[in-house]
Amino acid sequence: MDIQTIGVVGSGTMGSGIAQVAAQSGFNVLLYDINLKILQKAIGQIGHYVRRSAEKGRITEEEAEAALDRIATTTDLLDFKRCQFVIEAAPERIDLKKDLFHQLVTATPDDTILASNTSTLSITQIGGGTGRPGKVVGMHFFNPAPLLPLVEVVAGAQTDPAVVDTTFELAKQLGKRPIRVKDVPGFIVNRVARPFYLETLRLLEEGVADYRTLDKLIREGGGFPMGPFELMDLIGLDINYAASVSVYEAYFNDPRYRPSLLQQRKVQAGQLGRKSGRGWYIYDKDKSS
Amino acid sequence: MSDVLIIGDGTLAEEMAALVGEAGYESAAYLYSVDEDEAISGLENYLEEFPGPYNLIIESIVGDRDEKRQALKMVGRHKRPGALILTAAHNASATEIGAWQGVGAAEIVGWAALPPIGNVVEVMAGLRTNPDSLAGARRFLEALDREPVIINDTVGGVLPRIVASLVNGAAFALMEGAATAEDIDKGMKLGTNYPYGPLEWADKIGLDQIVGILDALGKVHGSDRYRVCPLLRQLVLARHFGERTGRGFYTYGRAGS
Ligand SMILES: NC(=O)c1ccc[n+]([C@@H]2O[C@H](COP(=O)([O-])OP(=O)(O)OC[C@H]3O[C@@H](n4cnc5c(N)ncnc54)[C@H](O)[C@@H]3O)[C@@H](O)[C@H]2O)c1
Repeated sequence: MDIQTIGVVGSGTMGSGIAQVAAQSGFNVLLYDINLKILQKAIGQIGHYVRRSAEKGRITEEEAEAALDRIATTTDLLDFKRCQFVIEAAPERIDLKKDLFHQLVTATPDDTILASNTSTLSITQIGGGTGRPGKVVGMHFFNPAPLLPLVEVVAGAQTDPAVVDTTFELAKQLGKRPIRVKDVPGFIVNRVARPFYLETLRLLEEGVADYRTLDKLIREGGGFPMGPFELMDLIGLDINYAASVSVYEAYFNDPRYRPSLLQQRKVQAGQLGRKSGRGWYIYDKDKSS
Repeated sequence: MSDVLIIGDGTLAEEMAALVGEAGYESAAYLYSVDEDEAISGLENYLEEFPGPYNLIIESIVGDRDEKRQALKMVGRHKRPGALILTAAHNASATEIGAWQGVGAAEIVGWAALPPIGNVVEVMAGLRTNPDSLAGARRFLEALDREPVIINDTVGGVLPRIVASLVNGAAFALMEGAATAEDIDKGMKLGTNYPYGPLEWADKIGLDQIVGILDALGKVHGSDRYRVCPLLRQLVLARHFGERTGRGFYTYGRAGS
């Protein structure tokens, strides 16, 4: 399959990162969002990152400008008729995504592949009822998309194997290192990583050691680059907690994934990590007070 | 005559014995291999030949709690009065081990680490451990150039409990066909920067050791949370313990071919 133009739906953190990667890999990109103001902000961001990598000498100035020229924007999904591949990175809400995929099926040619960057929702559910479930696939990038090499290529229950292959190849053309994953809650990384947080939170709740000591033991004893509490602060306790709740519920309350009450209290207290000045650790006394 | 006796059943025990040797201690080590069915009678013979008495005993039997109990009872007769026993807390807390018959509670100190042993080693005193024993354990680990970090007594310690749980979750994902072993490990290394993929790490630690940790956690916590992935248990029953036996989640060298 010859992919020339990639449509990206949603120009937020992930959408703009994915658009940047696609344009820098030589694809034409059509970037959609709900209004022009949001799109202008996204284009400004992408321009900033791409030009900065030219300043740092990672790419030439010509390459930077050429990549930026390959990105067009739209607020009309019907323009996606010229896309052979679409990557959706809209907010993580199933009703919203189902609605978008319905519109995309109407807007695009029959053989256009429709990929979702969802972290927690089921690809099978997103594709179901679209009338084109065989073409719906998961393409889960990690944040920041321009820097992190991993992409989880997710096959829904009805996804055509050839579509999975094409998506896998595309991920490689985008300079990524993809893995193949089935449509299970949390896919691989978010699911398999859960005990790193949940088991450590349990140890804290049991009073085995304080969070600083637990971080130290895991970092220096295990060789992990960061301890779970430092990492939760970086990710955001709200995001991390929501991921645990989502995996727990998706596995029908399997006790292996039971979220932590202590973490819920931190989230309720607004101690969300670095972004709020305080999470497990204190970063900014003014912000956290 | 040897000062320190090391007994154990896995890579962790081997690494510990190497650290003790490097630190210049006169040591004796009974490190039994997985294929040895008569581990305990072997220990009995070993102790007849090298009866001690020892000034310090390190136990690292993680795969089998019965063997651990029998071995501790046996070595207890070969130590100097008051000598310390550093016992692996991976599959029993120091308090529990201290309650086992014939093992003196006052001299029991729990320790926990995983191969490759990092700069820090977890140390825990049982509820009946003598404070002098804890101080002795700290001094000894410092002599091995490791920083002892004191935690409250708990089965599985910190690192073994977390890593065993990670491995178990990865094994479930593999069993369910969510991805291949290679892709699970690749995903975790690229997606989270873990030092090893969970499945390749399990092969280094020993699958028997992972199951030993999980079974003990399940028993003590009485929770389904630690139920062992059936595939992981099958591999252990088949004695596919990992790198040590040539086969675990992956196959190594000529073994298994
Ligand atoms: N942020 C991460 O770390 C991360 C990582 C991997 C995957 N994801 C997934 O990527 C998706 C997007 O996440 P994000 O962090 O970029 O969110 P974001 O809030 O930064 O961006 C979402 C964008 O979608 C736009 N939008 C809102 N309503 C829309 C609609 N009806 N149709 C199209 N666009 C709409 C918003 O204006 C915004 O620009 C989610 O599914 C999320 O789960 C996020």
